[in-house]
Amino acid sequence: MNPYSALPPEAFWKTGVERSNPFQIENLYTKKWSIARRHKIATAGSCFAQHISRYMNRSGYEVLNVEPTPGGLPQELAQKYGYSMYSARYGNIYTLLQLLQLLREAAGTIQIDDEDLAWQRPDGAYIDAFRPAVEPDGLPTVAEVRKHREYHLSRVREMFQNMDIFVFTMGLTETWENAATSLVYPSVPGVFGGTFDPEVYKFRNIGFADNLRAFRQFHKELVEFRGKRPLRYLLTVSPVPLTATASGEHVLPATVYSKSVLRAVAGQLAQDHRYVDYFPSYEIITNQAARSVFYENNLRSVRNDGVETVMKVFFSQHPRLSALPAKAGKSAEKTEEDVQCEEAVLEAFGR
Amino acid sequence: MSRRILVLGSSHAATLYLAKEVFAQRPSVTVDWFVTPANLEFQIDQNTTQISSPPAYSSRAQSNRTVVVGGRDEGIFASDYDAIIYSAIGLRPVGVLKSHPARALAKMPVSEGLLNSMVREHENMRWHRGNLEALRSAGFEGRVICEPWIRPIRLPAGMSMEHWTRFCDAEAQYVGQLGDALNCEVLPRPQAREYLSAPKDAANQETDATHGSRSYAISMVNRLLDHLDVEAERQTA
Repeated sequence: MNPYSALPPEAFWKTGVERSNPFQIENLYTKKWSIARRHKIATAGSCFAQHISRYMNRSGYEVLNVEPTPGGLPQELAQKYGYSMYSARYGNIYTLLQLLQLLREAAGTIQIDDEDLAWQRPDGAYIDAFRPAVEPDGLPTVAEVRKHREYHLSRVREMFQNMDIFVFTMGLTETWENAATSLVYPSVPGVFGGTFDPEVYKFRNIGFADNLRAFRQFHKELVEFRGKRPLRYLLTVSPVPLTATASGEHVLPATVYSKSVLRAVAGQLAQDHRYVDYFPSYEIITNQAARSVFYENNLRSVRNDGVETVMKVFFSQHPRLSALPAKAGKSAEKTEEDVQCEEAVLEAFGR
Repeated sequence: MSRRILVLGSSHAATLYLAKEVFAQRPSVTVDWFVTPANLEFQIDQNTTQISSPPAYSSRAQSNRTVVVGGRDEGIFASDYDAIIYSAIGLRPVGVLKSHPARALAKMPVSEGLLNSMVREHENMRWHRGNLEALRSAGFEGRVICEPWIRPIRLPAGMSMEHWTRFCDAEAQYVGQLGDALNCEVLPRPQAREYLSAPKDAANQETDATHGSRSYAISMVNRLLDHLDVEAERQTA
């Protein structure tokens, strides 16, 4: 008799992975707590979170949408303009530092200058540097960018105040930081707008300790902002590899490093805090037993059956509150091609 | 020079009907009306170009005769018209007030790019485009004047002046995009302040919170005829 002799099949690689069906993995995830119909869920994070957001919304959960699509706007256009991706129109929030920064800006504990906020494009238009893809045509003036951002922040404040559960998908550790202000950006200047100045913008690869600290600080400040009202988190790690790395490493180890850090942070937080649950969507997609079958030919984008497998596991613990509407089938065919990923634009710079 | 004009539209066109006597003051103009009430939008058959409305049709403007453009019933053809006043902008059955782009615009800043997309791709606009294409394909070669939504003279109950002004300004911005989207001329329209300073027609039964009063309709029709350069013995209404 030893500690391994009484373990269930899923505790062993051979039975848990090698001989398992990657489309139907047993006992992979056990929820920490339930999600009720009354719970208001907010979603944010890396582009993979858009899938989770969609499925939860269609399954009867109350997913907040504080910046709804203007009526009558077709879905494809809504998405092009950053609507219906997440609970608010913030685009992708790739890092925990970016998330913390958004909270501080919304809560008014930091102010962002015009030059940091509005980046000019070659055609003269301006974009919001912190959500560079939500206005594909840009805006005519810096003042207009400011006006749009203030409205957006007012909606974000409402979301932070009202949500009960925050679903956040961690995507990247690599980011670009303003050396003087420490502001971090979802995309490097010079891609969507702005000018890259190596004296101003520094590459930063956020390590385990800084990520962990960022999340804990976020939680502390958020609870304060909410007047001590508690909330819970469902964390996931995006299985989408890096499009490009600026770390100087080969993109493969850079990806593994980045995802490993994020996975470790999520695991640590879930171990330490009852209010944090980790959902293993990352493991489902990257599962060796699947032999990359859940990825498209580019080995980055997640195929629809991958997303469906992920959500099947999710709904096995958090049952659907209503059936998927008929149109969900068609929409569910969407792959990462249909989600908005600013980061993917970097591919164009590859030789 | 005599002109034949078709006024086509829903409740907004019905508001114009309040000023029908203005047309009478311009003898060179023959006007046909096809007006449906709010929430019962007209339909143009894409094949026959027959204009019809739902069975429950009843017009507060009592202009409930059917004009068959390009049909045989009254012997009037699309090509007979020199101009069409298309007065249904933004209107669609139930729920339109909630989905009308201008209403959304009043609540949030909207970029010109999004606004253009909203106007071009909004389901109402697709539908209106289809109507106008049907008329043109039926032989209509005249001018199409898009008569934008007549806004309330009175401040709607429960709406702050600030919000209401933003609404009007946003709508003006929205209307500004229509000409391109529908390939029509947009009738110049008064600004929000003009609505506020316009005389109130409290006694006018047709005045309501979402359309215009009779005096306002008169002003719009005069504006419209001037735009068409219609000669008239214009009188003060």
